[in-house]
Order: sequence, then C-alpha cells, then structure tokens
Amino acid sequence: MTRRIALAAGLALALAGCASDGTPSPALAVARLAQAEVLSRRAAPGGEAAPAITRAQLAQYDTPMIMAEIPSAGLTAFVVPFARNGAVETWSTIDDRTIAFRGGIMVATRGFGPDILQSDAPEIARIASGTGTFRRSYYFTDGADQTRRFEYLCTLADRGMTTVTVVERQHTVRHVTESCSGNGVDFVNDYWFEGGGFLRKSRQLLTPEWGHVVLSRVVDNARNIGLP
Amino acid sequence: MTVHFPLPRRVVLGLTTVLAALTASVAPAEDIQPTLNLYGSTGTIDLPSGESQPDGMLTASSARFGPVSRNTLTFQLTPRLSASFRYQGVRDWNAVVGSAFDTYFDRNFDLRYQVTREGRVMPAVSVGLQDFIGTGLFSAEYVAATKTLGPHLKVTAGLGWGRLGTYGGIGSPFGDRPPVDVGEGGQVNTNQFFRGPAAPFASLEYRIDDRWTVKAEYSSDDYTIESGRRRTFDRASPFNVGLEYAVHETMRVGAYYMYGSELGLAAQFFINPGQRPTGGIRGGAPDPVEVRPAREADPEAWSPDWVTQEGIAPILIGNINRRLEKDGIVVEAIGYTGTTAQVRIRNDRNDSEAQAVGRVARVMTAIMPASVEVFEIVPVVRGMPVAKVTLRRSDLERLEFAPGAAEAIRDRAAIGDAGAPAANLAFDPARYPRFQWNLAPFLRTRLFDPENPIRADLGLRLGASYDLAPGLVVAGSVSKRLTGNLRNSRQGESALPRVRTDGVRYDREGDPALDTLTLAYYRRLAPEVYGRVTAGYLERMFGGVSTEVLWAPSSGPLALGVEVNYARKRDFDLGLGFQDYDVVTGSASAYYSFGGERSFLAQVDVGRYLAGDYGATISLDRQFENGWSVGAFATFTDVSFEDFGEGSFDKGIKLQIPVNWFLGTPTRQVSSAVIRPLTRDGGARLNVDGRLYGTVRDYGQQGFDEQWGRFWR
Repeated sequence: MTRRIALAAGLALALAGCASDGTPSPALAVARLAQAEVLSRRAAPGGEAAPAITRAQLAQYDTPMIMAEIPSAGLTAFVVPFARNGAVETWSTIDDRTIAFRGGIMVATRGFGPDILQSDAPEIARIASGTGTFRRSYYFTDGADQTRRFEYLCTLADRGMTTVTVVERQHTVRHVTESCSGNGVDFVNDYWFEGGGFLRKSRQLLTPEWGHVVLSRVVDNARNIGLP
Repeated sequence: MTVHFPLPRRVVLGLTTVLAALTASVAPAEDIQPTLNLYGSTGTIDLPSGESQPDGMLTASSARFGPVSRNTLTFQLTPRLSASFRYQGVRDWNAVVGSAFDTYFDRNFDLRYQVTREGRVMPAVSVGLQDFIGTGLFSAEYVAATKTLGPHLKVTAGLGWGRLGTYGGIGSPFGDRPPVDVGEGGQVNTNQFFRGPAAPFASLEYRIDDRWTVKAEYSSDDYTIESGRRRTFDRASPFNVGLEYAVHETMRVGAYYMYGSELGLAAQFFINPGQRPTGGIRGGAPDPVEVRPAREADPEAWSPDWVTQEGIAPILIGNINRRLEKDGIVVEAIGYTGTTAQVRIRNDRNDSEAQAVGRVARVMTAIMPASVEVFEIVPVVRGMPVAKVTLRRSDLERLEFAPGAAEAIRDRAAIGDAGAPAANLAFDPARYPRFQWNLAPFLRTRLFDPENPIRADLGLRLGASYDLAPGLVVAGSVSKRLTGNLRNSRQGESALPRVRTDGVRYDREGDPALDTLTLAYYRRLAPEVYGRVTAGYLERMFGGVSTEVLWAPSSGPLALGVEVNYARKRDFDLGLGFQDYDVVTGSASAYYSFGGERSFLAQVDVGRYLAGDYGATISLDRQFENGWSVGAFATFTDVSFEDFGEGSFDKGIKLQIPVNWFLGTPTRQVSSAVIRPLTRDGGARLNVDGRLYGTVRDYGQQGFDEQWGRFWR
C-alpha cells in the first residue's frame, strides 16, 4: 500500500498544474522548495565558504551596506537602508528580506522564514559599555501562527581589543560579548566595535533553532549606523 | 473518499499525496513519545497501553503479521480522548471454512479515554472500546495501566474483554457476553461492553536509545476465529516480541515475532497538525510602515484638500495595488474622506486574513495622504464584503517595532461586520470582468471495495471561471481520465433511489466529463447575513438550483443557515443531459464553535436528503489555528437501517489540510478529503461549491484572532 501511495504521489507531482494567475500548483512549489534546499546545502559545504564578495566589487557602491550571513541556512544577503521609523532603521535586500536595527542592534527581521517578529533589546550604548546584566526578550511566531515570547537574562563582558577582517580589510576592534540564558537555551551574541562606538561586525541571534546572523558592515558612509 | 475541487483558488491534492509529503515533517519533542501497536492505537505490539498521544496528534499506521493486515488512522481529539478508524483484512479466510472472499475486510472504529495521567506513583490508565460498531469480529474492551520506571522502561498491565478476554480468562465479572445482532452493521454494540470472559495481559517496552526500542508482551487474545476456526495462521504462543526503530520523530518502523509462529512488520507515522513543521510561514518581507512627517514640520502634507481633487481614487488604487501585487492582494474599491479611507480587498493567496490586513495597512501608510488617520480594510470574498477591520494609522506608526506589537495593535483594532460602504466608494473598473483558468491533475479514489480496497483514477482537469461583476461568477470544469481502475468497481444493491451508489456508472460512462458548469451569485443581504444562488451542473451526479442564506455574526460562536435545492440527476455520460429522477432537498443548519484554546466546530443539519429521505447530520471537527481540521460526521434519516443497507447509516471522517502546512509559504490552497467506510444512498447531500459558512468563517473575529500573530509579518 505504501508503494502505491508513493507512486500516486509521484504521478501527481509529475503532472504539476498551471493556472492563469501564475499560482504555482502545490506540486511545483514543493519541487522548487526542494531545489532551493539542495542549492542552499551545496552553498554551505560545512567548511569555510568562499568569500561572497570582493572589495573591488564593493567599490562601486556608495550606499551603506551590511552583509548578513546565516551560516545554518547557507545564506548570504546584502542589505541597504530602506525605511526609518523613529530610532529604528529597516534595511532591505533586493529580494524582499529586511532587517530592522535600532542603532545596529537587530530588533526585527522579515522574509528569512525564521524571523524575529519583535525584540526588546538594550541600547547600543549600553552594549558598547561592555558591562551590566539585563533581561531581553524576543517575539517569534510558531507553526500554529501564535506569537511566542522568550525572555533571557543576559550579561555583557568586554573581551578587549582584537582584529577582525571584513572583506579583505582588517579592523582593530573592541570585542563585547552578551551571554544570555533562559528557556533552557544558552547563546552568546558578539559585537566588535571600531573606534569607540561604530559597530563593524556582530553576531546576533536570529532564532534558537537557526542560530545567529553574522552582520558585517561592508560599505561605510556618512550615515554610520551604530553611532548614537 | 471524494475529493472536492472547488474553483478557482483551491487546488486539491489527493489525500495520499499529502500523507506522503507529511512524512517529511517534524513532531514536537516529547520526553518519551508513546508508540503504537499493530492496531495503530497507542500500545505495545498487539496490545493497548494506558498512555495517550499528545493532544491533537494524528497518527497513521500500517501493520501486518501472518494473514492479518491493519491500516489505521488515529486522532487524539482532546488530551484524554482519542478515536481510531481502521481497515483490517485477514487473508486465507476461506482456507477451511467456505467464504465468498479469500480476504475478509472489515472497518473498525475505536474510542479510548485516559482516566488518569501518569504521576509519580499513579500509572497512566486508559479505558478503550475497540471495534465497537458493527460486526464486532474484532471487538474488545480493555482497561490498561502503564507506568514508566526510569528513563528507559515502561510496563503495562491490563484486563481485556471480547477478543482480549479469550486467552487465560479469569471468569466473567460482569456476566455473559450476548451475541452481536449484526443486522446491516454500523450499530453500537453497547450490550456487549465489558461482558463475558475477562483476561489479564501485560507488556514491557524498553528504550535502548533514541532510535531503538524493544517490546515484549503476553497477549490475552486467542485469535479464536483466525487461528482456531479458520486456520489462517497458527497461534502457538501467547508471547510477542519486537524491535522498533525511529527513523525520524515522525516515523517508526518495527519488526515482530508474533504468537510463536508469524513475522510482523509495522510502520507508524506521527503528524502534529497544530504545528506547521516549517514553523512560521515564510514569504517576502512586508513594506515597512512609512511614518508621516510631523504636522508642524510639514503642515501642507496634512491638508485634507486632496479629497476634492478629480480622479484621485484610481491613482490611489493603482498605487496601492502596485505594492500589493507580490502578495496576491488586490484593492477592488476605495472610498475616503479627509480623515478616513476604506479599501475593499480581495486576498487570493495569503491564508491568514490578519497578515493580509497587516500588509494592506502598511502599504496604505505609504500611499494615503497624511490627513487620513483611520484605515478601514474590508475583505471581500466571492464579491461579498465579509468584515471590516478598523485601524488607526498612528497606532501602526507607533507600534511597528514595539515588543508585543501584535497584541497591542489587536487591542486597538476593531473587527466587525463590513457595515455600509464608504460614502463615495469607487470601484476599479479594471477588476471586472475577470477571467481565470487552471489545469491540474486530479486523483479520484474509491476505498474499501472488498475486491480491491484502493481504486483510483488519475486524470487532468481544466477549470475556468469568469467573474462578470462582484459576486456574479460563471464557472466550470471538464476532466479527462488518463488511467485508473475506478470503472472496475462493482455497483452494490440499493433499496433507495440510486443517488450515490451508481457513481461507478458515471466513472465508466462519463469520460471525458463536464464536471461542473454553474452560474453563481453571492451577496451580503444585510449586516452579517449572506446569500447564495447557484444554478447549472452543480456536481458530477446532479444539476439544478441551489440557494442558501446564512447568518454569521462576526463575534459569537453561533451561525445559522438555510439551504434549499432543486436537484435533477445527470446523465451517466456527464454531458448536458438529465435523467428522470429529481428531488427538492435542503437543510437548516446550525454551526457552533467552542472550546477556547482547543477549537471545535459542531454542526447540525436537519433536512431532506437526495434520496428524498428526511433526517439530520451531526458533525464535529477539531480546528487548528493554522487551518487544519480533523472531524467526523454521521447522518441519520427516516430510511430504515435495513433499507439503507450495509453500514446502516451514512458516516465518515473529514480532513482539511492547508497546503502551506508543508510548503511553509503563503497559499490559500486546501486539500480536503472525506473518507466514508461505505457510500450508500441514504443521507446523501448535494455537493455544491461555495457553501457560505466555509466561505465567510475565516473573517469572523475568531478567524482573525486565530492567526493574528501574523499581522506584522
């Protein structure tokens, strides 16, 4: 019986439908989904991935740009400033993914799938201070479309000066860690500040299942995000 | 199983396709997930345990040993109550005692209730009724207690009656077991419950690691008929042992040595409908809220003078629609004053009304002049305005990134009846008329034919619809079978007008087929009252006129509807012709949703059915926020059980599975399936597309609230 079911399913998939309004049939959509998954896996073979971009390529851009990498999804995206609501700036890719920052701290994401709906994060100045303990919360939606709030207790620590390389360029930075725990989960966010308060690079939690987004400021500009 | 194929937005997959896809899903982690026995109930090998599955879990199992095969679907309806439907076969039935069948097939229904949850000392105790309706050949009742001893070991002890009281009995504590009066089957054998000999059983389950589990049991089932009388296998021992392997959280396989003589094999599938395995829905990011400049900074932008400008409505509609195009949302009309704007939207793709409204509201912040403070968003379905969501623009601006923004905006939003149209509501002339078509494969199945339990036809169906005006639609579909064996089905006897049992003649003679061709008109008749008239070739077997009125308040659990139809039986060739049989059929319906956190929908329809019989249908569905629904129904009419024939009355199981559950991307497509153990002529309803309750239900307050978490997505 199982084989018969599989056969029927296979036939249904082979006979993918089409429609006037461009709605893909479920079968086609499944196929595309699988393909995307395979491609993303191929792009992340486990080891150090090839650099996504070179400094020469970046030279042609004069808008501020952040490279966002999600290692667990094998995804690299580039975001540029798109909208502002009060202290929150929304940065967007060209393909409908957005990251909202409050002074460089990621407070919301959209279009990645696993997204931060909202988050209650400390001010960047507080993180830059490298000391203190606070509560922070994240809001996610689950598979039942319900909002789930997760609260963590986080402690900052100043790890001292180090260097980071962002697309062929070395930067002298101060490393601050934010160690959080709660709901049976521990995670660490890393922040690398350059010249006082400029956030050159950071590693911030997306969701506990998908892990972190690595954010690297690859194109600077007068609109320096991270400056209060 | 009948698969409905409503046009134009829903594409329906066969249930089988869906089940195949479901196996790739993820169930929530439980400490030690209770496993299934070969009956597909929570238990050990051939015996039940005292445990229950997590609330809302749907399990499917396929098992066989020796001549016995069982395919079971079990649903944990509430944390304590579960129900099973099983299709059971025993091969070599005519080996020594004569029978018309080489394999005896039977359908079973089980009910099981967990009396106590497992505590530190207290075991989990369940009481179960197995195969409690019908022939009773596989009937048993039991009480089983299970205790977990440490992280690896579970022990179960129980007492069984019926089948489970046939070996090693301890006498009949509650008197003799009267014989079953089978009649036409389908009747509850209450007088047998816990009667006759009782016998103890016991089992052990040892979990070696996350993957491997060993099971052993002592069975109180003597297999009196299968082994003794019919000699289909040799029951040499009461002991069963087995080894199970968890391929995935959602799938287990097992091999067993049964009753000292036979090898057994089983596959178990665990599906948690409540949680989409892909988590939250994917899809492109919304446009961010655009905040207005401060009034003092730019007083001109805040001037309401734009209202008097000529031709501004089409510009606004065009600008909004350009931004909404990627979301499959269309603004059909706009009306405004200097401070309030109302848009009528059609949401063709996103299954969450809240998300669609959230996206429209954000686009409006970018398009509407600053003087507009109130947004009224009116979803339109089949041309009917079915709700109104009123939002304040300043709330959207202020709450976009606020922690807990979904709840906060819900507290400040008003959801209710669509109300009167805005004063100067202007429709976009480009929206009507509208033509749509689709071409997709179909799979039509007929289950439980004793000669071949699964029959199916596979083919192609071309559908088209033409919206002449809001709510006025011409729609039709034609299909061509490509392959399959439905036409080989046999046609059973019937004492009633053949309104369903000659379905096989339509399969045989109606190819290619005009499946449907209708003109339908939908209209909101009054606040919270909707109406529908559909005329033409309504379904494969009947044409005619179907009319319906529904009262469905936006808030509150109750909705009431009346449906009156005139139906005439179509020619078997599924062309334009009709046969002599006609009937006036219809019902008065009450819909009641209850249960709070666990949402149930109870429905009662009282009326006249296709064969001219009078009666009532009761149905109960467990509904999940993400659109899944699992339910059952039964229809009792004035047709006697004898005239109805095998099964005594019409009954079945309903499943609705949102396609996005396994895609994880927005789509309104729903795969629905009705599984009937038997299809007879009594208690049969007309299949009309676009029944009103299902059309408007998602737009009540509850419909919005169930998925409100997606407002800001």
